[in-house]
Order: sequence, then structure tokens, then C-alpha cells
Amino acid sequence: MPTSHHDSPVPDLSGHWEVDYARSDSVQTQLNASFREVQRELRRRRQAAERGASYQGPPMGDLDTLVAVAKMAELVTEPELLEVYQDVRRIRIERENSFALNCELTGAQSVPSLLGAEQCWWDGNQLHFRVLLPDGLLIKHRFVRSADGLSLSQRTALTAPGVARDMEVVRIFSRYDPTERGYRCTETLTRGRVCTTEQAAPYE
Amino acid sequence: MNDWRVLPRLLLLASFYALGSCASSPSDETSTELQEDSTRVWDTVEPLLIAAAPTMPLLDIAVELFDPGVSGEDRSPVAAVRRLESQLLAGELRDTLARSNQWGVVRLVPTASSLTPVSIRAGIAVSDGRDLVLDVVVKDAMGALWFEYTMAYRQQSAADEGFGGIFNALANRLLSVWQGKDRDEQDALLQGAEIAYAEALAPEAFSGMIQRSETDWKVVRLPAEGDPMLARIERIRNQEYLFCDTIDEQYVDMVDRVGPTYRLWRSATLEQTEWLERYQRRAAARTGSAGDSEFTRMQAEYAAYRSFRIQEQALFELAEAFDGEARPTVMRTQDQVFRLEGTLESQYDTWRDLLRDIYLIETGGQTP
Repeated sequence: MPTSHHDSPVPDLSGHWEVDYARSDSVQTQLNASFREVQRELRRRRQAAERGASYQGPPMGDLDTLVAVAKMAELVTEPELLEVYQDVRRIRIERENSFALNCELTGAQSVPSLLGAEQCWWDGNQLHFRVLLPDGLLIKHRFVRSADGLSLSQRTALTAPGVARDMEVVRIFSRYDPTERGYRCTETLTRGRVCTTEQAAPYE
Repeated sequence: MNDWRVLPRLLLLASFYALGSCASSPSDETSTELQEDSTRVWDTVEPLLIAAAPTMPLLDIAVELFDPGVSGEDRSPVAAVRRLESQLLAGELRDTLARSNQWGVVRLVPTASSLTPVSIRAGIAVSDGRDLVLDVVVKDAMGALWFEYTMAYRQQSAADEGFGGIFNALANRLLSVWQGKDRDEQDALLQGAEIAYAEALAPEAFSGMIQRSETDWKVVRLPAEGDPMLARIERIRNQEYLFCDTIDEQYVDMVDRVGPTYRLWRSATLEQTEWLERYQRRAAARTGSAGDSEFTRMQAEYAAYRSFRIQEQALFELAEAFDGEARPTVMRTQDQVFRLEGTLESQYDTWRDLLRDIYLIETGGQTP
């Protein structure tokens, strides 16, 4: 159950973050791990059947759905850049090519709609977001900042009816300074993502 | 949270219910709204009766900024959108009445006043991008009720031009009531409204001229012909009109800045709802082996949700930027300049207090 901890100060996550691939999970690796687990499970079941024993292990779930959830994990964790705005009351995590994750820092909130529902809360250590879609796909994000403030971990777990275990993908983001990139991009309603080059600094 | 696991079912059950009021929504509230929604009769757009020239005598109308139906303390994005809508929709009604060419001057006013012979007040009961339910009350300056009703409009297709035409029925009904009065009644209303305005400003001089009952009123005495007080009151009234004109300017500016995003959001909301309904019909007809693959289904749901949230957040951002930030208004009287700040309502109250002070000074400083 979501709880909130008013006593723990929320670390400042504000700033620009870019994904650090070297330290992040690959969805394919996670999917391979899931398949290996399924294969092990199948082997255990077969061996139990050969022995004539009844198998007591966890249900395996549907493989098609498992693959679908893995592909969804790839889609959901696609944003490579985050821009975080934070004040004492709320936090807003803007994600490249996706909707922003907004949360008040005091108490848990729900934002339901026909197309899906969101929940978020601060648990004293991590910022939690959940998105539930109508057919039951549940997307959970947890954000935690490293002690030195230079990294931001986004742990995303997806689960769906018919899948025995969560598909979890960890992405590590590092701080970056957008003014050093030479260009700047913003999402616009009418034109989508629009990038402009920064004006070069005049020579001294 | 206990309702979290049952939410998918609730969401599916709610397929004909418009996109929900975000940020507050206990399931009890949702089910009550669903029940109301299923029994509601939706209005259809009727043609607006347009006159070649306004009918005489000219009737001025005030459209009060709508009651947004959210607490003033509520700083959530949804509340900000509602407050924005309360101005946009009032402006839309004003434009409809003006377009009909049946009336004198139609003004937006922040709060009720006896400035005009007739005023329209509406409260937003439901507004979610597809459905709009308003509680409308029309009264004259003496406080007598002309009519009240609940208008409920459901946008039928994403191609609809926003809320265009939804106020036609209200405008036509107002016209029918006005034309149902004979000329004496119409003249009495205009006369009564002038006295009611004067009475509000200088009760010591004008009270007792209108006899009111619970449902009706009657002018029993008229001010003396050529009474200089009436001329002063007319000047004060013109100053109040000036304030209304500045509200109009703010409104036009706001529509320019917010209107396109608001229309985009409404259109996107309806598209998403239509998509969801089509999707659910398909899902209901689907058998175990046929139909979309698991991934296609999940991807479509996620894409629809993502798109809806992006549109919604863009509107929220704009609405929050506008929320409670009415521009300061600079008003001039004959020899002074006043700068009014705060919400439109408080600016209006301050301005009316100032006008009253000016009136008292002009008439010798007698406090009633």
C-alpha cells in the first residue's frame, strides 16, 4: 500500500538527466533471463511428471504475454532524456517523447481516467509512479537519486494478467548540462519535437 | 490501495462515461456520476435565431463569469482548467448572444449586479472535454427569476467545432421570454432596472420605488424628471461599463492564447474516448485465438494513454499559468487613475466601492 513519509526530506532531483547505457539494463538481457527461467521451470515440470510427482511450483504464465510485456518494457523505458522540475510541494519528471510524471510530494495521489490511471507517492526513499491500463498492464516506476547526486536510477517493472513475474528494467541516468550540447529540443503540441541550435558564444 | 486492483474493471464498466474528473475520484463518486450519466438526456444543437436588426426596446444583458464548481482553495490542474473554462464558456455565451443580433449590449461581468436589466448566471456541474452540464439561472435586475434549467451537451464527434452552437437554445429561450412580454412590461423592466441600479448605489434616495414580492416586482414610484442624481448615477454606471470593457479585453486576449490548446484538448479527449469505445467493442467480440496480438493490444492502449496525457498536461500547464492571475486593471475617472489588482471578482468589487465613494463625495459625502 502506498504510504508517504513527511519526515524524510526529499532529495533534489531537479535538473537534466541522460541515460547512461553502460550502467543500464538491456531489455533483451532481461527477456533472455525470463526465458531461461521459463526453460528451467519447464524442465522441473517435465522431471516431476517423469517421476510421477505432482508439481508444486509457481504458475509459468503465458509466453506470448511475456514477450509482449518485454516489448512494452522497451517502449516504456525508451525516453533517453529526463528534465526534472521540483519544488517543496511537487515534482514533475518530463520525459522525452512521452507524458510527464507529476506528483505532489505530500501524500499519495491517484489520477484516474477511462484510458488508464496513475498513482504516485514518495515513500521516504524513492518516488513511486504507477500507471494501470484498462486491460491490466501495470507499469511501475521507482526513482532514486544516488547519494552524490550525480545519478538517478529509474527502476521500471511491468506486469500483466497471465504473466507470472514482473519484467524489470533499470535505467541509470547521469546529469548533463543542456547548454553544452549545442542544441536544445522541446516538445510542442503542434509540431512534435522541435530542436534548435544554441547560439555560439562569441570569442573573447 | 484497495481499489487499485479493481480499477481495470471499473474503467471498462465506465466505457460510456466521459473521461473522468482527474485528481479527485473516489469510486463512490464515480458510480454516482455514472448513474446520472446513463439517465441524462443530452441536448441537441438548435439553430440560432438571428435578427436582421435588434428588436426595440434594446435589452442589455450581463453574462456572469460561470461558477467553476471547484473550491477557490483547490490548486489542482483540474481546478485550474475549470476556472479557465468558467471564463471561456461565459465568453462563448456572450458571443452567441451578440451573434444573434437580438439584443442591446451583452457584457461579461465578474459577479452579479443590477448593472443590466437581465443577467445570466451558470455553474459548471460537469465538464470533461466531451460532456458539459451547466446549471443556468436567468434573473432580472430586481431579482425575479425568468427561468432556470440544466443544459447538458455531449460532443458527438471529434470534428465538432468545440462548443459552437451549444448556447443557441439558451439564447433562443431568452428571446422567447423577452418577446413574450408586452411593450409595457418591457418598458417597466428597463425602468425598474435603472431604479434598481440607483437603489444599490444610493438606497437612501431611491429605496421604496420598487415593490418586491417573492416572485415578482412592480415599479410604484418614479424618480423626478430631470433629477440631477440620475445624471450622476448614469455617469457612475458608465464607469462600471468601462470596467466590463476591460474584462472583455482580457477575455479576448485569453481566448487568443488559450483557445487553440483548449480546443485541441477537447478534440483529443473525444478522439480518445471514441477510440476506447471502438477498442472495447472489438475486444468484446474477440475470441481467444483471433484478433490483435498481445503486444499490439498493449501498445495501442499505451499509445492512447500517452497521447491523452500529453494533451491534458499541455492544457493543465496553460491553465495553471492563467489561474488566479487576472491582470491588474488601470481605470481612469475624471481626475484620478486607479490600479486594481487581484482576481477579477475582487477588482470588480473594489471598483464598485470606489464608484460608490465617488458618488458619495459628489453628493456631499452623506453616507446612507
